Amino acid sequence: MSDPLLEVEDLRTQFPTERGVVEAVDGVSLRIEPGEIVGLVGESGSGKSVLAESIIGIVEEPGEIVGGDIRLRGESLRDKSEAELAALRGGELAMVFQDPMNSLNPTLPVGEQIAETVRLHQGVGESVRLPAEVKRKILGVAKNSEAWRRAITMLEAVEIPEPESRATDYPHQFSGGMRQRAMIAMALSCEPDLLITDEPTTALDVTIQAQILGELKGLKEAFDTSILMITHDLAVVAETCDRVNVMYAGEIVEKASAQQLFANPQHPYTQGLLASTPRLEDPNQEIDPISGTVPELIDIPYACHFAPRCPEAKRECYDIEPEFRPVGEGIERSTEPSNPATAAADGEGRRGDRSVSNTEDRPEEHVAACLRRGREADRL
Amino acid sequence: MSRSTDSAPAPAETESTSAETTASETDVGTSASGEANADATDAEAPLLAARNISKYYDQSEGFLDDLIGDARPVRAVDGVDLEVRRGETLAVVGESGCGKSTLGRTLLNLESVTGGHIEYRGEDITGLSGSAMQPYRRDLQMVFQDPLASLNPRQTVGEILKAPMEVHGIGESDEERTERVRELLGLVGLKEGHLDRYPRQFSGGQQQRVGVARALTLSPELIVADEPVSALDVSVQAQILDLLDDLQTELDLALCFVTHDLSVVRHVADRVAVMYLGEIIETAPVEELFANPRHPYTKSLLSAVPRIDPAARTDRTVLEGTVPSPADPPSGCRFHTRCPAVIPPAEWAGTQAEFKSAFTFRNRVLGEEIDPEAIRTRLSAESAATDNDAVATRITERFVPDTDAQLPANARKAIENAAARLANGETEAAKTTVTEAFPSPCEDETPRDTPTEGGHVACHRVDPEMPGDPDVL
Repeated sequence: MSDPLLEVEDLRTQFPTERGVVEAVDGVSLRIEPGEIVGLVGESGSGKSVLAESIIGIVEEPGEIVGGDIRLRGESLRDKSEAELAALRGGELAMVFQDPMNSLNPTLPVGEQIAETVRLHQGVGESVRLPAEVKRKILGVAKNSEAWRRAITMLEAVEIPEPESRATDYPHQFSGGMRQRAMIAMALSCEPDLLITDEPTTALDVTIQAQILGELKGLKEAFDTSILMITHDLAVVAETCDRVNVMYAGEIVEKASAQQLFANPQHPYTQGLLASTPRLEDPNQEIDPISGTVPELIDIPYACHFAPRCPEAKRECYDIEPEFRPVGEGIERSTEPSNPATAAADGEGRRGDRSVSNTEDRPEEHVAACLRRGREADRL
Repeated sequence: MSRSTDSAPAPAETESTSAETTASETDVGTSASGEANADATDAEAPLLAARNISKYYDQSEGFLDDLIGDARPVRAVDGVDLEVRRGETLAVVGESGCGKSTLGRTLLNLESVTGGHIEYRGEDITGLSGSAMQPYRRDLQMVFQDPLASLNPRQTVGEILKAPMEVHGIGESDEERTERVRELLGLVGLKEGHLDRYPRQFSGGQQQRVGVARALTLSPELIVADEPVSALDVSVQAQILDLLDDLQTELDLALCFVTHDLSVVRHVADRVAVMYLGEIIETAPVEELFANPRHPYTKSLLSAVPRIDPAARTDRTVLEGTVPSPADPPSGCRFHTRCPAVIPPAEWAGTQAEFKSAFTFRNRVLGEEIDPEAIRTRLSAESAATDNDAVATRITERFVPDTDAQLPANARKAIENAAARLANGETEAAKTTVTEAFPSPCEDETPRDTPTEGGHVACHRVDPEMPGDPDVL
C-alpha cells in the first residue's frame, strides 16, 4: 500500500467563547489515500466543517488548532508558515464550499477568477505582480494567455456549455449548478492532490446534484485527485465515497468502507442516523428518530459524547473513554472501490480482494468508538 | 383564467358581511349546507380545492419598464387544479423555482390569485382578505421552513401560542388560554417550562415544534407545511416527521406538504402532485407514483435521488439544459425542451435517442447557446483553420457527436446546414432550418390531463389520442 496522502492525527481545534471553550474538533484522526473519495458525514454542529478548515489552515480567529498534527505526504502542515500554507492552498490543497455565490468574486468574470488561480499556482510564466494584475483588472485577461486557455479547458471539463463565452460571464449570470461547477473547475485548475468539498451539492436541486456528483467521480479519475467529501447526506456518501468517517460532537465515532458502513453499521449513532434517514427505495421503512439534539461542544462532561442520546448507553458509557475497536467480520482493502462504476476504471485484481485477517494499523479496518461494540465489548 | 376574476369579488362580499354578523341568515344557510355536504359526501368532497388557479408576479418596476422593459410577468403558478381531502397528506413536490411554495401560500390566500378559484368546503374563498378571511384562518394554517424567521423573537413561546387564540376569541380568560398552551406544548413534545422562553433559546428542531404548535392552536382542519423539515438535521427531521404523523392521526388533520425531498415524500404522503414550471404535471397516490411514475419528468426526478442501498440504484436519466424562465415558458408541453422522451414527428426515420440528440441541438440553436465567434477564437488558439467551413464543422462535431447518434441522412444534412448558417452569422436562418427539420408534437399542443391510476398525467405520450409510445423511458 502506498503512503497516505493526508494523515490527521489526534487533531484538536478549539474556540474560546464567553461561555467556555468550544471543542469543535476533539481528537480526530483520519487518513486519505491517493485517489480515493473519503466521506466525512455528520449533522450540523458535529465539527466537520471546522475539521476541514483546520486541514487547509483557515480556522477563523479566535479558533485555533491546539493539538495533534496534519501531514500531507508525511510533511506536517502545522510547522508551515502562513505564506507556505497559502502557496499550498489552491495548489496542492483545494476546497469547494457549499455556497458558491459567496465564494466567487461577484465583480470579476468567472474565467478571469480561474485564470488568476492558475497564474498564482501553476507558474505559467505570467507576472502576478501588482502592475500586471492591475492592468488585467482594467483590460481583462488576455484571451491568448496560457492561464486563460487553461480556464476554458477547466470550464469545459466540468461540462459548462460554451465555455469560451461563459468564461466572460460574471457569477450572477450563472445558475446555481453552474456556479458550483465553476468552483470545482477553479479548485481543480491547479490539479490539487486533495480536494475538500464541504456540502458541495446541498444547496442544489436533486437533478443537478446527480450531475455534479457524477462529474466529481469522473474528475477524480481524470485529475488523479483525492477527495474529502463533507456532507450530512448519507445517500450521497453511499453513492460517491470509497470510505466513510462518521463524526459526532467533535469526534469520529466510526470508520469503514462505504460498503461495510451501510451494510453493517456498528456505532449506535451511525445506526440512528440511518434509521432517521427516509429512504426512497423502501416504502415500508419505519423512520426511527434519535431522541434529543447534538450537544453544545463546551465541556461535555461524559466520556462518550453520544451517551445521553444513545438507546444502549449504560453507566460506564459516561465514564470510560471509548476507543476505536475493530468490528464486523470482513476487512477490506480501502482501495477497493465501493461501486462498479469506479471499479471498472480501477483495473482488475482488486475487486473481491478481501482478507479476514486482523492486520494492525491498516486504515481500511471497520472500527467503531463504542464501549458496547467490538470484540472486547463482551467483558462489559 | 381571466374569466374567473369576474366572479371572485362576489363571494368575497357576502363572506365579509357574514363574518361580521355571524348570526345572519346567509351565513347560517351557507355553513349549514356546507357541513351537510361534507357529511354526506365525505369521501369525495375535497376540504380545499384549487380550480385552475394562477399566480403571476409583475416584473416591471415602473413606467419606463412598462414601456420598454421586460414586462412579461413571472408565471409562478399557472393553471393549477388541486384538491386536498380531509385527513390526507398531499405532497407537492418539485425543484426550486417550480412554484410549489407560491402554490402553498396561494392556497391559503396568503398571496392573492391572478386567476382561478379556491374553495374551502365548497365555499369560494378566493381573494378574501383580512376580516373576511378570518373565520377560515381557524381552519387553514401554515408551518414555514425557517422556524426562527417565522416566530416573533420578542415574544415568549407562551405569548406566541396565545396570540392566535386572543385574535380568534378562544378561551374565556388568560388562564384558560395558558392551560391550552400547556396542552399544545405537550402535544408537540415540549415541556411546560418552555412557556417563558424566547424562540432563540431553542434548538432548530424545538423551534419547529413551536411552529407546529402555533399552527395547531386554533384546531385547524388543514395545515400547509412549506419545507417544514428542510432546514433540520436528519435525526431532528425524523422527530418532526414523526410528530406530524402522530398529530395527523390524532387530530384528523389534512396536510399539504410542500417539499423538494422525494425520500421524505415517500414516507409522509398519501398522494403526490409533481410540479414543473408552474404547472402540475402528474398526480398519483404515493405508492403508484414511486412504483409506476408516468411523466418523463417524474421519472427523471426519481432517478436522480441518491440511494443508500446499492441494489436500489437505477440508471440515471440525466436532464440536459437548464430550467427555462417561468416568465417565458416553452410552448406546448413546458418540459419538451429538456424531455428525454420528446416525441419525434411521424416521418422520423431514426431512433428516439437520435431524435433527442437532434432536438437538443435544435434547442441550443433556438436558445442562441452556440457562439460561432467563440469557436473561431478557440480554433485560432489551436492554430487551426478559422474559415466558416471549419467553424461549421466544429459546431457539428461538438454539439452532435457521431458517437451519440447515427442520425438519418436528412437530419444530419439539416444540422450541417444550420451549422453553416451559424458560422455565416445567419442566426435567424439557422433557427428556421432546425425548427423546420426537427418539429415535435410536444411543442405544439399543451398536454391534456390524462386520467391514470388514482391521479392524472399531463404528457402527450400517456394521452392515448396523441402519438408516441408511453413506455419509451
